[in-house]
Amino acid sequence: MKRILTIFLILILAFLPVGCAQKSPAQDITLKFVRIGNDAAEAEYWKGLITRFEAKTPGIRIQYDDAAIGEPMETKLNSMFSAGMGPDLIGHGIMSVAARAVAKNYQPITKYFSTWEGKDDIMPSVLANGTYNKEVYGLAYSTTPFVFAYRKDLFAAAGLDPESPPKTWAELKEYAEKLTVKEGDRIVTSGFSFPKSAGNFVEFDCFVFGNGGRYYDADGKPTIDTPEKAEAFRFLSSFLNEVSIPFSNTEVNPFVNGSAAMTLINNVALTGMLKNEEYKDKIGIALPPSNEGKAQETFAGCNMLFVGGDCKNPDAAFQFIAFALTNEEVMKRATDLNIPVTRQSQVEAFTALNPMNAVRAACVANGTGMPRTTWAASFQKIRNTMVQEVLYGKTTPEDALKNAQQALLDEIE
Amino acid sequence: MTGRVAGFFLLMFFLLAAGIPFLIMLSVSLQSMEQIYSPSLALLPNPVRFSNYPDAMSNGNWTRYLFNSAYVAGMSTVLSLFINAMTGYAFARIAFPLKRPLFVLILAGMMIPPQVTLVPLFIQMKQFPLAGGNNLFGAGGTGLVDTYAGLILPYIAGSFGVFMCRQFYLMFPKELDEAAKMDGCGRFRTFLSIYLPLSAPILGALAVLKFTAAWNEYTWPLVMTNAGADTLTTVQLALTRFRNEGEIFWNQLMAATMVSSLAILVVFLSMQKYFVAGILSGSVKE
Amino acid sequence: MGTFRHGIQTNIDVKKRIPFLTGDAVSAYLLILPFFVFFFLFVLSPLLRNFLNSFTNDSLGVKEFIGFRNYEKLLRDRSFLRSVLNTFTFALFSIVPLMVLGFAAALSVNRPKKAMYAARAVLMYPYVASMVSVSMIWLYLFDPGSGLFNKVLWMAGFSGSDWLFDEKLALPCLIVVNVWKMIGYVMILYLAALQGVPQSQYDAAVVDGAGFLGATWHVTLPAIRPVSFFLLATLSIECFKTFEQVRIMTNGGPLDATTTITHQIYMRAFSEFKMGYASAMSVVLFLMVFVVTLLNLKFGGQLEEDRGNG
Repeated sequence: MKRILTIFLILILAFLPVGCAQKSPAQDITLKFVRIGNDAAEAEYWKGLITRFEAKTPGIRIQYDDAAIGEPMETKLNSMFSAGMGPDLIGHGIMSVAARAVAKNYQPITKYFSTWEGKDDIMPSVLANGTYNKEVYGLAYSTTPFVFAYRKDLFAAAGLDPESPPKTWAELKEYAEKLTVKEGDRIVTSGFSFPKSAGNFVEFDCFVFGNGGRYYDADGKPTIDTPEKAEAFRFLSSFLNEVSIPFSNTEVNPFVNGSAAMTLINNVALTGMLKNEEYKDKIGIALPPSNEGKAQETFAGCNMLFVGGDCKNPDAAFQFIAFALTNEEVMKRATDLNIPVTRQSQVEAFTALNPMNAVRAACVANGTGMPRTTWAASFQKIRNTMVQEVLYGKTTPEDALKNAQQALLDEIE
Repeated sequence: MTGRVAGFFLLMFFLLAAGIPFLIMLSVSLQSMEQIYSPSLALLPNPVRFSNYPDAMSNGNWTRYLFNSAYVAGMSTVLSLFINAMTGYAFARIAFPLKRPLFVLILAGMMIPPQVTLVPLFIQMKQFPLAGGNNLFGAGGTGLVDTYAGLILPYIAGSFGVFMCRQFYLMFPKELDEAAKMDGCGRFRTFLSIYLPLSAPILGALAVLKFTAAWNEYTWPLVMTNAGADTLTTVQLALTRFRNEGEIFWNQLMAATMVSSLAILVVFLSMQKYFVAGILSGSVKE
Repeated sequence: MGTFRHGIQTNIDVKKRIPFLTGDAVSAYLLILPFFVFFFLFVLSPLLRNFLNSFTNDSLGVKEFIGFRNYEKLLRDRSFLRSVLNTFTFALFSIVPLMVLGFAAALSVNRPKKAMYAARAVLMYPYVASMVSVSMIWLYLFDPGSGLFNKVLWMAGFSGSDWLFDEKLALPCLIVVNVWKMIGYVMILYLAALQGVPQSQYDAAVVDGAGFLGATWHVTLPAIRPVSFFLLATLSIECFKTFEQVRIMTNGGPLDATTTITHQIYMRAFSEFKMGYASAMSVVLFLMVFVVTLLNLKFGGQLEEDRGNG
């Protein structure tokens, strides 16, 4: 026992100072950078980018950190900002823009943006994601569109043309019913895989957008209770229970382990499947089907670089943003990580990389993200509840929409 | 005889209930991603891929993560055990003014969910006087943020150990104190030379519980370590890196989880002799 | 309280060495001082800040005093009210099986055999493995499409179940996981407590003709009462604070069927940034746990146990 104690005492003396002795050379500017998402491949890419940036820009050092998507990231940022030590650079999503811009966690970068070489090249739909109250706050480094994915082999087996995925809701329903394989009551292969619960129910948004619907108007007022959403609900309720195996979109979609023929899925979630020998040639992707006569649209998330409100060196911080968005880095992300490009001039080169990239780029161009409003977080919760109430048959689509609109207005007040 | 048989079946039931999920974890940790994704989810790994373990361990600096977790959990366990036992003894055996309200206060400390004290506690750490470049009033620097001390200190304040030690000391015969008093021992001496040596079963159990809690903590290290570069990253933080936006790398995640939980099992096995010692050596207090 | 009657004797002994000490009380204060320093810094003061926060609208960038508005809002918050009901259900149906099964587990491995070392380690495994990885395993077992439970049901010719996606089954599923996970905790404390039961008392009971169950009932259970009450109190507190498995396995769904108070607090605080509102929830949770714990202790006589010992 005494020996163990002694060892521990030595360890205290030896290691307590380690944490404290991390000051960088006094002359350099050190920028703290916190990015959302912490999977190994992306983290490695960013560490490489930082090395390249520091080699090219002496005098600026970047201290990199990341946190898992969702509450871990918010927990971390909120603690740091409350203690007055917010990071200088933040990599974060669309939902954060309005709330954190209003709270002065982000500072506007419009003046740097207006002299930036790439300002006319960035895709308008992508630029809009980082703009709030006419000021530019964030510039996108990655987009995460939802694509419509389907299994060509199962299409062929069911007598459908593997090269023409459904374009309309009516076709989607017809195909889904044809593709579903049942043993008694049990669905063995799901015709169309749609989540039954979700961290963020963006799969429903795909149907809203594909029916010409939006969640808020030009003034930023919520417009949840509209007929095109009720129509989307009625369409989904008319067949989902017969063709879908329950899952949560925070877990693995049954499509990914081979037990579904069609689904809506985050582009990056397909990566593993496309590398898998068993599936890689059997998968097709497309824009999601839309209602008769409406344009095919989808949900597309997007992650951007922001300059923190506590940052003392916004010039240096923007230099880093500009570096991360140079042509070389954008193409490197496209090649290494399959991330769709965000600059118009590169779409052609991106399309040439991989036959699926044309669809990915189309999904970005026709994609809408989460609301850019201060009430985005409340919206996410209320929209999730609303979708579940209808899918579980608790209320009619009309009542659910009315309640959701009211609940959101209450929260905003 | 029937009691024996019943006891055996009871034990088998518990072993199966606890063991099956463990075996699944082990099996998944040895499978390939192709097998995990294949339509027929097989229970046995085929082929057996031991390479998942080195692969998982090379995702970042795992030696460092394991050391960090062991250091933080070990330090907070050792430092808190003594303080907890001492405080528990006072509450179990000495009468003093305000004892009951103070005890209730200690209990109250366990009742607030950590989620809401997280941000206040973080601010407190950042403003810790005379640390990390701070002045006497806690301004100017980063305080205890990004230090081992910042990770360890809040665990020491846990009420749980005090409450637990008190309850165990209540079971000790009161004659112990009276005998000590006769011998002219002060309270601290009584605690040190009579209670502490008899506390092996309690402290052994408490050590396992404390170590486990600190080892498995996720949110506090997440918030407290911002320096990046993996210096202070703990195992639980690193475990979240085996997934990205749509995919979970089950095999490596389970391999890393096995390694992580083996570390606690080692602590458990080494402490076990203390809290089951009584069985082998007869009762402690006869 | 605060009788110095017996303390006087000790007084004299201590005084010989450290003259400024006057009484048992002082030595008690000195014994508890180190703990209270940490406790004040890292528990009490954040707790106090949290309490004050519950009267503000603290969220991103704003913080104004708004009186009892948060508390009024709680009464109309349907998700919160549902979470209170869920939390009580969860706690009640977890604690009773845990106490019984945990005690049975401790008895079944409380034998001086080498094999028991391994058995105890296996039984401890669910408790020491982190909730995150354990939840993932159970997610796989419960999966409606490819999970083990449904596969077994199908093989036996039954129809499967939606488990965590079934509004009525989701909470019971979480309770099963919780009981499975926490048995090790109850077991380890009972094991430690069993070491303190004098063998002579067992022998006496056996001489009186009591069987194993009789001896357990008449000798073991009364002797380990303080630990039983400790377990009851800490399990109540832990179950009332249940969070991790909810966040990972169901995220409160389907339709708030499994949301707990702590889950609501977390979502409000870190998904919607309503820190003030979340603080108010935590004060309510605190009061509920406080009452339950005091009842526990009062009922078990655990506040009075120090009688005649001062």
